Amino acid sequence: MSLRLLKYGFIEGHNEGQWFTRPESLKKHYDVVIIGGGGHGLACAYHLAKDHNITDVAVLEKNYVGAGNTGRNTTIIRSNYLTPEGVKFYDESLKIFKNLSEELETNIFFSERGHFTLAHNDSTLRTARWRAEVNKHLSIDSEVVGPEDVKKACPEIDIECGGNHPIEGALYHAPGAVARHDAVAWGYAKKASGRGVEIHQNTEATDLILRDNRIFGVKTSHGEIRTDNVLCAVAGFTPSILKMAGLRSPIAIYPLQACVSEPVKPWLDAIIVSGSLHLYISQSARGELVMGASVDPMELHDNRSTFEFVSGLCDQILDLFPFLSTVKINRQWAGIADMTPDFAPIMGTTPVEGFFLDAGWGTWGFKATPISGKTMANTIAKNKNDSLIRSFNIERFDNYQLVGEKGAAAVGH
Amino acid sequence: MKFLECPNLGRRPITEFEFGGRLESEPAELDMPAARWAFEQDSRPMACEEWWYHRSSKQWFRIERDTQKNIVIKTLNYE
Repeated sequence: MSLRLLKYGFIEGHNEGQWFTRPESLKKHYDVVIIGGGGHGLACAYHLAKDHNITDVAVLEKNYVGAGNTGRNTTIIRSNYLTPEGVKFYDESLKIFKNLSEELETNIFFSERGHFTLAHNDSTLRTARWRAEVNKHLSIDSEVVGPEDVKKACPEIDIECGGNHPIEGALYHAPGAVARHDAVAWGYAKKASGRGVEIHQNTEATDLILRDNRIFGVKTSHGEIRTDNVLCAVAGFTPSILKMAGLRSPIAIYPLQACVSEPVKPWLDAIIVSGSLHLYISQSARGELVMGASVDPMELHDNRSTFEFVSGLCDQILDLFPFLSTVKINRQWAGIADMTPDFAPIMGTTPVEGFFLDAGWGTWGFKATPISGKTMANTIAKNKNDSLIRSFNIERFDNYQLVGEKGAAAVGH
Repeated sequence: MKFLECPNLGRRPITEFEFGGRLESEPAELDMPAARWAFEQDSRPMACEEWWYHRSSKQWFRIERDTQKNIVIKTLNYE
């Protein structure tokens, strides 16, 4: 143990910098209550304070900051989506990410890598072409490249995939990046807290108080709060909070697993994704290979990770990178993903006045953290959906106006 | 390893099964807009009646499962 740490352990009220302050207790009233202290909830709190001068905000987190899917994703940031609505939205997020370290005065380890979505057959290549053309139409740096370009960017790859499923080409997205996900949550917490937002950890929202179909307050594990505005940003726990508001949604909960290898020398600069092999892999700043797959095949509210996930994933990874057979897996985990039928989020106002939703983030939520915070803050402040998220409103299901993002949201769907 | 209690074979690895979704037949008269019926669901942790398929024995079956603990509460009889 360092002497410095020991020293501060014994000094009360020391001036060593803290990421964010811990409020003593909940107040009786807040202008806005945000349920969920992950990246999305904290980013919204930050933007409420910064853009709209709304600082009487409480963020309720039943665990610790970033304990949920913010700290469980595989940190990939990109904007090469399939629908114009999705592309515009995620590209705004990517733009904010580029300067987020400066904005939050927190090193989020943003690292631009280039993102390859491999095609092992003609139909995947055709979807890649479709995506590339949509992307180019909206000024996104995105193109279809040949196997030789993949090999050039990543010489370690076995282009023949062991002869099982040779790579025919790829969708290449140069701005594709990774970042340190925990730091994003901490940075937003720091900046929100600095502007007066209260972050209450170990505080669970146990019920919503409604009056005449509008929000009147929140019951928590530490007492009742009176408020007119509530944001629900709780990913896999969304159905339970919606029930408190008397609402239902098309969200279904599935576990999503991921793992990291032991740290190895930097060799993988690009982010490699393969829908056919159900995998994605990138190398973190620490040298760990961060790997993930598709969601577990059944509805389940359990973040246990399993051996068959790792063995199945490694089986496929070794087809791409046979030399990794001697590298060990260090950690594995799961998050519970709130999947939607069209693989697009559900954001904005709801049929309950004063109740706002930032959900349906399934397997694609981390990259949207900055822009969802900004647009949800705008939506709450004006009680009107931000133009960028209008097509993601929960009403789209009533009107059959789905946002078909399945071909670009993740792998293996 | 995740497991499922197969009504025919007992405890088997989850990878041997196919999840067939919820057991929800459409009521004769809908008390909500059709779009709501088509899309909405209550996906809280709870006991759910579901279709499952065991691949190698090629058997469909119906169970009530706890979606938090992944425990089969009971096997539903075929009618």
